[in-house]
Amino acid sequence: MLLDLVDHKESINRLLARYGVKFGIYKNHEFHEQLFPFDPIPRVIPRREFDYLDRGLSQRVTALNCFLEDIYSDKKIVKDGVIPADFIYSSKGYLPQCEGIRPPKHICSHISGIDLVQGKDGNWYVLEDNLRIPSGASYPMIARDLTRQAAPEAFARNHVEDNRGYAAMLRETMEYVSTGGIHVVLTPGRYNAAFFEHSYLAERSGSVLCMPQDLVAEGGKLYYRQYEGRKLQVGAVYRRISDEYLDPLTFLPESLIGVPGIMEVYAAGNVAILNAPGNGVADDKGIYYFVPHMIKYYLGEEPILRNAPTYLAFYEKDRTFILEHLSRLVVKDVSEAGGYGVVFGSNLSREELGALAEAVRREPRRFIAQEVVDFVDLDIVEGEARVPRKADLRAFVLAGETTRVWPSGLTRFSRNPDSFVVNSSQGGGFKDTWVLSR
Amino acid sequence: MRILKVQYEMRLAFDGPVTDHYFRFRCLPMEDDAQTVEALELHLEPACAVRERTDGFGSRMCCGEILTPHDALCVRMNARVRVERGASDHELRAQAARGTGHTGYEDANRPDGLAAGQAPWFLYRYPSGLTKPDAAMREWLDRVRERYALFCRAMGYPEADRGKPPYCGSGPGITAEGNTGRQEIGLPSPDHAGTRFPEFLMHEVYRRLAYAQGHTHVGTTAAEAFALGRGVCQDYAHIYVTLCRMAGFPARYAAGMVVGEGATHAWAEVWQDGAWTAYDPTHDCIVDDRYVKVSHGRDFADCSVDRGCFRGAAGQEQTVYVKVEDCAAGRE
Amino acid sequence: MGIISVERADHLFWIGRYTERVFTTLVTFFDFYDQMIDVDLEAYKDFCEKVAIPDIYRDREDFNRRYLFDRTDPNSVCSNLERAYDNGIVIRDEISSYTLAYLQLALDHLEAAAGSAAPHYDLQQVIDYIHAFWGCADDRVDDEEARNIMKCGKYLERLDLYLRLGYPFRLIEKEYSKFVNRLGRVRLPYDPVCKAKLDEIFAMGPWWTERRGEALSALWNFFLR
Repeated sequence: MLLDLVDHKESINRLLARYGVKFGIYKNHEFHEQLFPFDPIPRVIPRREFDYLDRGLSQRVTALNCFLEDIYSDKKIVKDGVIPADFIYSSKGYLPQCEGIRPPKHICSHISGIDLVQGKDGNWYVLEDNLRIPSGASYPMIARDLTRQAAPEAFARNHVEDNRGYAAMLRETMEYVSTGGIHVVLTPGRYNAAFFEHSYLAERSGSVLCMPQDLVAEGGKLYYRQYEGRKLQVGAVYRRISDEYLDPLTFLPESLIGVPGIMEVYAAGNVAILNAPGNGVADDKGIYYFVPHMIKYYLGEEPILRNAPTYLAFYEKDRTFILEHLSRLVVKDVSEAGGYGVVFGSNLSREELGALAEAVRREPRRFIAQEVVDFVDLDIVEGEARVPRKADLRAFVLAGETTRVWPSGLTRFSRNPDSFVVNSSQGGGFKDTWVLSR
Repeated sequence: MRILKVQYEMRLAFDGPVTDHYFRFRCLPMEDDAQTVEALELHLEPACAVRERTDGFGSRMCCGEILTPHDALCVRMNARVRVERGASDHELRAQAARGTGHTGYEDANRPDGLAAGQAPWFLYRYPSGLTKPDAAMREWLDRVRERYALFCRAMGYPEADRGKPPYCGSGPGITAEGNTGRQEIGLPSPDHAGTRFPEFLMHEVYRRLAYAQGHTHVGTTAAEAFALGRGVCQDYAHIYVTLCRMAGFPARYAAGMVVGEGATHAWAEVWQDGAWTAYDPTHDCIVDDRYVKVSHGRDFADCSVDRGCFRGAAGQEQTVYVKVEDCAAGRE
Repeated sequence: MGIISVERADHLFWIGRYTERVFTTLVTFFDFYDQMIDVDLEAYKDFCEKVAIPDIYRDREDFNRRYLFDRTDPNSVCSNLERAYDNGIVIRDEISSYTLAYLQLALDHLEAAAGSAAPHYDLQQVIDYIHAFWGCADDRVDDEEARNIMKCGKYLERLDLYLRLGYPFRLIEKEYSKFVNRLGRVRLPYDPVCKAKLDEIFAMGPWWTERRGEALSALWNFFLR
């Protein structure tokens, strides 16, 4: 059924080039843009399976939003001893500057990117929550636009949910939290890895793409400065600038890409910032372990989605287990991100295992260990052949008036047959994700 | 109890006209158990609207901006503050703690000290940008501990008989090298209720350092100042805070003014026996009611009296005038 | 009324200018290329002088290659097209992905044509893409003011090149009236003295050439920055 798509691989990639579907990388301190390789065979998620994911992901993001609101206000979950204080206050993602700020409509994580894999046992496992600036939704959106043109028959015969509604979902989310005024997508600039996405999402969601210098805080409100001198009030900022650079008066004083005063406007409730600053405290690898606990604590529900089986070296019982089974586990340093600081015990020599065990004993707070999930391969087209490759799924969950899961997602695959790492900065490609409508 | 009359004036003079000038001042006396602000006036020149809010650490912050060209900015603050804080409070609390064996540490999730919407004491257990320790500080702290053990024995304090105290870094402890702020820090056990270690440490820091201006700057870290062996109140406070945290005591940087000093001052607060106790390592004393606190945080960076940014002239000069008088003393 | 910041107005204006510079210099390039085949092997020297770019070229072949394709030459067609693209990509939401795609296509095509033996044939496509770009802009740039700022840039650049290259007066007159027409529909701050001077010079008819220098400087200083 997907033959048309495979046949049209070249023409689809040509269209992607035409629209500049690229991501940037820095090589030797120089900015290069490269095409994000697209594989035409989509990941197909049957309706019933998506309904299950939908429930599980909405539940998870709802709990994470409760957690974020709680941490920067009442801290009930700490007082009640559900999560040790250590895991919150020693996290780089916890920003004391955000204490006491109530974001509009009490939503902190408006756009969440939850990374999942499907195990060979058929179960889905959550690997990571990305609640700061998850990127990637634009790629399947535009790919869908173009694959429909290139291979209309494939879509005429299958019943695929249209994923191009993402722009409308994004707009509705911004409208819901907006404090009144225009909506902007704030980009640090042209030389950002995800600039294509910034500009494409702005275009599609009907927001204004803006640079920091276009915005000005004045009198406790945020404005967009028009060229002829008028100022327009801004109600919602979908910012693609990370927390530490957002406001030089609050975070890094040397930041040149921030908007001075934006945090004060935000704290006063006069602008919505998507996602809320300080969200990093909830997507820390150590906190990941506690997400199922959060679901029970805040929602009084049993978690629908599974975490990959995880052990926390902080707890003595877990630490003993980790040290006993080190050679079969994957150990992650919670202070690292982007695929770094991840070690597979099975790849280590005896000496290396010994050193790792020692490190875990010395600084238990720093490490988590997980069972290696044997996840399913997806076929990709390579030359004339189809070959299996490791792939994950980044699901996008948007929280506005309700919490909704985008019926699609970014499926990333590793181009290297031996690799589990699907990160685009490490040479991976992407696929469209089809959610069947029946 | 004292009623203090506080005058604070800061003038920023720029080399030339600046625009888009945003400022955040943290110079208003805090309102807490020890301080009550009875009267407050704030005056800016050029005049502009100022919005006050409490920052995430609990300090009062004045926010404002002047977007049009100007070449100077002057802030004048006059306040009358009633201060009720004394060394005796600390001693009473410590005694009570010794009696009950209660320290405020026995349960890491104790509800006390977790004020809604404010950074809780947990945060002040970890190194921050200007308070990262190094090997030299750690070694020195080890020697202080030894001296403290001898001192306890000599004084007959029970602490001396309780083996190696946990705050000396047993358990999954802090390592001085490469400390990124993520390591766990061993906390004192209930055995150390009412411990005199923070005070002992203050005396040691005071003796270890020489007060000297011009050798350090606002960005000097605790480890750098410690290596130099001298500095100003900011450096004393940074070093003391760093050592306290290494020893397992949550500690924070505090800024404010003191009776009889013509500049702002910095000291430290230590979370002990379920409350904050303030120590001034620069003057080697426990902070009393001659001190007016305006801010606290992890280190100086969270407490700078003036944080701002602007476009235009490269250079600026800051002059500060501070005067704190004891109203009662003035009348007598 | 559009939502246009200073920065954005700048990008709109310069996308117009650079796109036009690529277009008109490319068209002119072909005329000179034709001459250099057998009439005047060093005609490019005249070209450089007219459009006021430094003659850094060794010979005709060097010019033919580097002026078109050399990214390290800031005056090359390729560099100008890159600048047009750089101005466009940051205002994708304003000009639309469809419009921007034509600059992407032009750029990709120019890159692919580098070193071609017959630049005539290969580059015609670049000119076609630029035509398509402007056609698409008319249809897809919803905001009228944004479109007019682009056109202000375009006609200002065109006038500048026409004046330098000595185009016939009737063409210059036509472009000037197009420029003035767009100018009336935007709120870009400009210098009325420059405007008055240009009016005066072009009122001279074909004798405007006597005041070419003045006209060029009035164009140069036209918009207040």
